[in-house]
Amino acid sequence: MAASGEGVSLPSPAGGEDSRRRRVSYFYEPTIGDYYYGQGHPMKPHRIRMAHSLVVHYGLHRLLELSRPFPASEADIGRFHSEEYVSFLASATGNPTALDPRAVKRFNVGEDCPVFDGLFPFCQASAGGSIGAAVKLNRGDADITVNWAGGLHHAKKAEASGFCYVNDIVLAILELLKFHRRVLYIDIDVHHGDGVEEAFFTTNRVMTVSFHKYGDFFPGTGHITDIGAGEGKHYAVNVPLSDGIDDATFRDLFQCIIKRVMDVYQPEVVVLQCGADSLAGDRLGCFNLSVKGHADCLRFLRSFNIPMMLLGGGGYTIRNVARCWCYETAVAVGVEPDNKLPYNDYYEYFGPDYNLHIQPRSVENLNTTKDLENIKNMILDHLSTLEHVPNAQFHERPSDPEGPEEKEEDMDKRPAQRSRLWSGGAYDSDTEDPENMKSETNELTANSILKDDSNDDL
Amino acid sequence: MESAAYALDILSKLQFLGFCAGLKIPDPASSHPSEVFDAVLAAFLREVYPGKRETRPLPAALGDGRRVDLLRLFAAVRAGGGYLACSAGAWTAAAESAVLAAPVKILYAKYLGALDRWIQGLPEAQPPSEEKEEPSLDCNGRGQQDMVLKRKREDMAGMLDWVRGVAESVSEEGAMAAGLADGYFPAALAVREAVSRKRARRASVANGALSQEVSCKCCRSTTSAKIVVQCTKKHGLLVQHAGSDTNDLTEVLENMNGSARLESNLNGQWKHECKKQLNSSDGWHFTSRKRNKIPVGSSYQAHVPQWSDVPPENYDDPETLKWLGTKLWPLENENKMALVDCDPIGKGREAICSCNFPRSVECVRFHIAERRLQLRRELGSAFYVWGFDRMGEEIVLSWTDEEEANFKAVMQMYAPSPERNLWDRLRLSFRSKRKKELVSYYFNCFLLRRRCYQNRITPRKIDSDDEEETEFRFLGNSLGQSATKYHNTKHTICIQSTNCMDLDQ
Repeated sequence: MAASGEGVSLPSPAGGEDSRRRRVSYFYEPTIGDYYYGQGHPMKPHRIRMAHSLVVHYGLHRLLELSRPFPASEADIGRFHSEEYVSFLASATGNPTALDPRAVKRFNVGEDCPVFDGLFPFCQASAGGSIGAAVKLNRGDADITVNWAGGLHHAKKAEASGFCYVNDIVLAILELLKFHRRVLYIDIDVHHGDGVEEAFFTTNRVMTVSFHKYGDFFPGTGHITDIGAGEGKHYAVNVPLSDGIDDATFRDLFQCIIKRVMDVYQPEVVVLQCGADSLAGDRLGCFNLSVKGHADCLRFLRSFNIPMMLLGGGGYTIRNVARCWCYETAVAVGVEPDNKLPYNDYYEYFGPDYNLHIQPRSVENLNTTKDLENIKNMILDHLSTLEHVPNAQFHERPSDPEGPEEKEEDMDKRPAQRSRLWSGGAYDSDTEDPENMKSETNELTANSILKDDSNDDL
Repeated sequence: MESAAYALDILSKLQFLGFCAGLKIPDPASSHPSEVFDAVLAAFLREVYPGKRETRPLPAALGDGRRVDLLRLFAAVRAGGGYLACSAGAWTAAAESAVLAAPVKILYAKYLGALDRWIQGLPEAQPPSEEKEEPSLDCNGRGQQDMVLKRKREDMAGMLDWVRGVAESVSEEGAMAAGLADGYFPAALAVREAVSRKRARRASVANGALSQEVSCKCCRSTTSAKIVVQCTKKHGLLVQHAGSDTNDLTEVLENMNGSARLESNLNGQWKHECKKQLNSSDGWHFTSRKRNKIPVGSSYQAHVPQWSDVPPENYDDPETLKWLGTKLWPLENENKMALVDCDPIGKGREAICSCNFPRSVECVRFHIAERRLQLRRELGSAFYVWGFDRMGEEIVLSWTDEEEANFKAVMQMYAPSPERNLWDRLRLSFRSKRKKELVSYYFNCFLLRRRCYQNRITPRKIDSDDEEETEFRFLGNSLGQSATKYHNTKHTICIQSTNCMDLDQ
């Protein structure tokens, strides 16, 4: 396992222990901020535009590859969603009288998931960004890919839910599964990641881990005893929490559980849904995380040196969403930005302090030490059932011919890596991480995008 | 002069509430009205304070033997607004009308307090105002304020205890009767009403999937306290809601008590109660409309193929490469010179600037414009492709002052309206502008202006997301000038913008 897998604790220097640069590919649809769910609706795509403005004004774009996503077609979206549902979305207009009331009911559009002008193009951009991010990782073009317009984790196969219509995460993971045997999905949105869990409930090729508020809270699923079914049994992890969880408590729990998950599951790629409604002061959420605390999850995962995809999600106090996703972009590229925000197009949203970081509220943390111990122990118990039979999980078809690269690599527990289409790798020749397999098998090629910038400032 | 009819009206109200079910007044026309009233009151007190008849002998008399006309006293105080709302003058008048000297209030409380609280909750001839919905929780009498607040706190504590007791107890009648006397039932209903209203306001667009509204039709009417008890058990009234609802409830109770802070032990009791619920696995219930078990089947799961060591063919074909999207940065023919001038990556703003009035609206606007200029130089064409020319207050340059004022006026009128017709109204007012432009103005200018105001005028009360908030004014014109004065511009003037210089070619 990666030596820096212990993760970093607050406060941390730029990039943490593992400050090596990563190649980061960032997807942004310039029109995304124009979409509008409707009067009074808490979901505001404008927040993505605000985050982008901060990212650029901090100069982070100089360390990113920026791409406009290709809009996913009906057929592409149909790789997961049902045909009738997709047809409905593609043809739904903002005119309420034009909608078939039966379809409206059947597909759960209406109040929480209104049909707004440009609904389908919005979904196309969101899904296109996530699938694009997956392809980048599959091709090895980037170490970390980012799509803040994605992460809409509630959408189901044939219905909308919780402001989500197309589940871009499922589509992205299906793409990743072409090149990665095991995908780990982690969800730190305050709401349970039910759409993704449901889609992969019966498979062991995707492990879903969700940290969320549980108890009289949307969507109602995510009980600690929901662990998957069939072949997917023990491959769903649910961490149910109470109101007011703070940075320190969350970090302890997150690092403890994720470390074990990494040990027993050994994913080849990680998808992190960074829903920002787990931040303090969220309009709909009830946790008490600061931006730093939220980003610590990313920082911890980054230190495992596994390809990673960052997606957006919830977040209804838009000034804090922008702060959070800007800061997490910075953590991804390995930069610690100044707390004083640069002057930017949306500067006044961030007053009266105009700072990047936020203070947690003085609310009570209803998660008692005892509760958390119980939760931790239960989950570690669930996970330990995976350890006993590692081979059974990792080799579904014993007659699979093993690729030549497996013989070259000296990995005890880590199974075969699929050969990359290109073998670009780390930039620094002196790796800080002697256990990192990649640097042994990879070589720098002319295709590496940010090669010229790798020795730039900072 | 109160008539027997008044007394009988009280009786029918009590029967509506579930008291004095079998009581019949023999020949009310020939009896003295206050005797009729005493009879009704006696029956009521027997039910409300079982076994405590001795402390409230009827007919009521003062220490010196003078009889008190409770009917008149009651009528007078009710006319004055009820026990708590009655002003000092009204008490004096009530005392006179009941032919009494000083201890009117104490006497009232002892004999008529319970009746006052129960009847208060019912609709009167005139429609009850918003305040009256919370029975006996208003506080007008200044002299009595401390005592009343203390009593309210005790009332609340008592009420909460009662509700908990009812929810937990096996035998309904005992638990129920124990607290009904002190008006806990209407208080509990009122609090629950307020909490759901508050929750509803806090929750998302509709009380659909995102907020769990426990709407219990049988509890809406107050015909029978028994039904309430059953409902309490079934739906987990108040006590069993965990987490944020506790905060809600506490807040609501605090608000209802005016400036009085709840005792901290009261908070502790609630939290303890909720935690108890959380710890038992049976307490993990919720009221979501959505299913709580993950369904399994081909209509739900994604199709995940078996792993194959053979990589997919043609991962370099156009079908796949299209997913890489359109690369926007780094630019192909990048102007490397532009990068030299740039600030280090991650740099924030300077702590000090050389403006005349640092951090003023004008100063901020100037620096933002300065930044945008630098960005435009650095990004080149990407500035437009990424949409920076359509961000922030650049948008406002295509709006006249009059249009802006109009927009604000429509917002003020229709944003808070429950009909949700704001955008229809906006489209009607701005026929020449497309909805997209209106939305863009809203996020890029209107909300920014509001935030600008909040940051300077109400820095403790900022909100980027409450759409109904329209109490603010624009500080300065589009360039931030004259931010300290508010001009009512009547003319529309086109001025050349100095923050938008075309640098390309």
